[in-house]
Amino acid sequence: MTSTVKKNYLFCPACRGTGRAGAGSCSHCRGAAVGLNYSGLFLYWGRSISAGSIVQERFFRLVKLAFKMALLGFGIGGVIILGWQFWRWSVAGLTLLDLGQLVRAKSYPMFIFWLSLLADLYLFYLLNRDLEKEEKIKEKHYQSSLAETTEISWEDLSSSNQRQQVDVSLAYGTQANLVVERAYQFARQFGHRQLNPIHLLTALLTFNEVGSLLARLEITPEKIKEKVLDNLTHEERGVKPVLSPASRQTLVEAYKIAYGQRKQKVGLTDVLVAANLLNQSIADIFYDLEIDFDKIKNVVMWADFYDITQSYLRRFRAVAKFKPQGNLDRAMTAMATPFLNRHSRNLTTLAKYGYFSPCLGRDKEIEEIFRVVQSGRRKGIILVGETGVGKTAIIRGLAQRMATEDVPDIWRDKRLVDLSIPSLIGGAAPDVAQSRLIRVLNEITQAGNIVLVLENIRELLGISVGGEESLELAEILVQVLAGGGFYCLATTTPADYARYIERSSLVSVFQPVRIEEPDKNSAIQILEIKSGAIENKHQVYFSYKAIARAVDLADRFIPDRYLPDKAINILEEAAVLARQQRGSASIVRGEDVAEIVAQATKIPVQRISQEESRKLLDLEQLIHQRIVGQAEAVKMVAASLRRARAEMRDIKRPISNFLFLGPTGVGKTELAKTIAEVYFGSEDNMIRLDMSEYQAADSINRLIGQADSPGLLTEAVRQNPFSIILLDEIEKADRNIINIFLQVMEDGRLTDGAGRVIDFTNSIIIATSNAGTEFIQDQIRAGLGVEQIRDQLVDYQLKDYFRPEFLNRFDGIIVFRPLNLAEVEQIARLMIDRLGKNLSQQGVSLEVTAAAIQELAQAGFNPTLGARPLRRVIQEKVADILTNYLLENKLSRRDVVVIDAGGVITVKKAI
Amino acid sequence: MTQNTFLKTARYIVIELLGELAYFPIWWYSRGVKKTAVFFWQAIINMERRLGWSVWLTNLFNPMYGQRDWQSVLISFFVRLFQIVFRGILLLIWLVLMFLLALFWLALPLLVIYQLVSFFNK
Repeated sequence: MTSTVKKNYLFCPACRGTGRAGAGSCSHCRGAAVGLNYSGLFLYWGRSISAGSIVQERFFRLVKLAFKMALLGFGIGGVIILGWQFWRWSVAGLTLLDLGQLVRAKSYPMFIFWLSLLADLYLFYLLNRDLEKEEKIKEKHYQSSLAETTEISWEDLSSSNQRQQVDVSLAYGTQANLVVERAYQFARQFGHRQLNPIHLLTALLTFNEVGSLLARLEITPEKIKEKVLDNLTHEERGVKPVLSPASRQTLVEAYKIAYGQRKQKVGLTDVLVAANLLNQSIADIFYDLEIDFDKIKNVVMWADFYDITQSYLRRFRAVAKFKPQGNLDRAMTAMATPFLNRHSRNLTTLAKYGYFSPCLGRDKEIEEIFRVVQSGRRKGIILVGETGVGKTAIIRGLAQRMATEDVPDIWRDKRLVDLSIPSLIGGAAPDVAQSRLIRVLNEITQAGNIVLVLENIRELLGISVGGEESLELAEILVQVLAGGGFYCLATTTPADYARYIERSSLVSVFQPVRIEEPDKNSAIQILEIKSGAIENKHQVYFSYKAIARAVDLADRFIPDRYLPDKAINILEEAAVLARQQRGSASIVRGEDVAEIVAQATKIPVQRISQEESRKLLDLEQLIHQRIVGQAEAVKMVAASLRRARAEMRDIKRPISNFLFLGPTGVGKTELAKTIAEVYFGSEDNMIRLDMSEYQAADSINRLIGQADSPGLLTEAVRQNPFSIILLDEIEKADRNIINIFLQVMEDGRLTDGAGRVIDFTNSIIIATSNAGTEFIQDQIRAGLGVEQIRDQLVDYQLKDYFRPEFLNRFDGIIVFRPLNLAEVEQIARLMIDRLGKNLSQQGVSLEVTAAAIQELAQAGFNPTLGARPLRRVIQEKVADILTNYLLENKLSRRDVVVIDAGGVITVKKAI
Repeated sequence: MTQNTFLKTARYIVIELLGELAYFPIWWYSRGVKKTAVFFWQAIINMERRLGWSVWLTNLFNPMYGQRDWQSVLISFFVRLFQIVFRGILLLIWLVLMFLLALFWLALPLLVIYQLVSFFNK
């Protein structure tokens, strides 16, 4: 899948990409062997790898280090000597004024001191030189992305364009270089002919950094080592391994990846990503462990985020320390704001002292806010976004920008103050609230160094003094802002904006800035940035799967809240769960997150356990323990449940939509109940609506609710999205209501009276109908098969009740056959068994002879009413009598009640 | 092989370690000067930001604490003037100090060598 990238690489034809000819290096390619034309550069791996060269380089490194250590030691010695001289000087009774003499003294100790000082300076120089000489990855230029076309061939290499030729090995960091060396040692130890990418992977696995990366991917070192060792056994054997063309390619690719990310040095992770990208066998190893290339890339990015966050924090602290900590600006022009201080928080000061986590990835929104500020059109900016999409995070990000003065000129040397509206006007009479607000606004205007934040500005609306003619609180704010008093940032939700703000005068002074819910990938990145803080708090580590699943599952199963907040909440809870179950320093896995989501939504989202998969495969049998006959209906329902659980279905629609047709008393409702019990845990997980109650058009309000009252259907599904919805006798419902279900069955969602979108994609919708009952009975009597009856029903009979597009929405229209006597007998047996179960709780057993069952079945059988009369018959002839026996104390524990034909009931007393 | 390694090592020590020695004075008075200048300039800038001297200067005619009556404006002007002079003196002292330190640092190798040479001339 990934090997296509190879096409841009050049392999030296003379040495076939090994870089060697005989004993020396290939003269054609000068040992470069494999090259890549990229962005106008020619990349190749130049470092020769052999046992000798590795030893030599290590030795050089050691010599260099030893030399520097010697210089350092000498320098320290010099300081000690100086101290000793001072001590002697002071003992001799000389004062500081005589210091000049000490400096000028021509003694041996002082000579050594001066020499050591020179050594210090030389060491300083050497360290600076190291930094200067260090080869870094070439800087990426925007315009050079298309330059790949200007290609260099092996023949050009010997000629002039030296500048474009890049030996990537020089830009390898210490650890990345060590990977190559260790890989060579592995190849040599195993006696392999070539150093292949698999050796690079083996070497990578020895580094902690890679280990923790794999831990994030929920791979244990043992698992991958096993697979790697297995791969190593297939390597060709030989002595003195050489760097294989595939390895050279991988090493060059790692440079290319690091170059693309504007890094300074090639690191371990770059080699890991490159090895995975270019080598099918390595990709396969990870693929078997359920890790595809994207996951590796994302988890590496996560590690990079950590570095980015750290360097951001370093820069932030260095600059934020200059921001004044109090309420005054640097120019001391601001006025004191005692009343405002009581009801507000100074966000800039909180940001300065690091109370907020870094706000990364929100630059787009912040820039938009600044554009509005700079345009100077309006003094008010209102952030419009759903709860949880990050409005507060953006405001905190602004506070951080203000702390470092990284803002438009007009906002420099100002502070961001979050005024708490409830604290200011809560509980106050309207006229008091009004005077308080005026006082605060006056203070802010006079202070002149305040940018005001009003979260949930809606709280200001609807409070007015006196009659209708009077001033609303919001009106006061509008007047102040229109007068150009100060800048104000407000937040609200889209619904509130449409309902209240747009209709109020606030709209004239506030410029809306929309804050959209981040897409899944951005949400994952936000979570990756946030994860560090949560990890610290709960002393656990998140795997990448935990983060990706939190976003994925939250997006799918929690439709009424918004990313990234809902995913962050899930992560927090999963962290607590993992800590409780496995202690601190444990890894929060994808399954922990799934468990939290399953608990919250009651939807089984965890991996299917063995027990559950057995249950799913035996579903028909389980259902038939309660349902007699109707094999086709049972099979269809069971299959749809299996598809749903194994995620083999369209997730944009309900799990399944069924229409059960047939006469009354044949088991339509019973089947729905059975599914609810067998698969959804209990009969209570069924939302049952008797559609005959919805015959009037206005009954729709009861179903989907109104602004202030929740709907019967929508509220039930909102609270229990994973459930069965049983619509009994659907043909009796009003047409408009049927139209609503048309949409539900097609899109899997419905907007309730309060404007919330209710998700139906995790429910099974079963509609039952008696329509066409007579036709069914007639045709069965005439000997027609169920299939033919259904076709005729759909084509002709049902047209009177339902529109064709409604019928089309069903995944299955199932005709329930009228029951025959034999089936009624089986049902009688089931009912008696249930009765026996009740009786056994009193310690009494029940035995019923076959003849008695037959008799009961015959008495309860009615071709038009199905099995319904049977219940009454059993009640009268068995249950009532047994009840009397119990009340009369005729039964004691361990007694056996025997029911025989002719209604004869005998009690075998326990001995 | 060993012979080869020995030769390479010897060459390495001569070129890498001693070759650098020849470049030491040249570096100190070329790139080194730039580095020193940048370092001390940053120290001066930071002190200026800490003192807020330029902020005081630009707001000389801007009354303090938002008090705009003429008495306050007058008082403000003189307080600010005092602050500007006082902070200016501090900044000047810092500036001179940093300049001297930079000069001292640059001259340090010469000073050391002078000391070493003069030892033999005693």
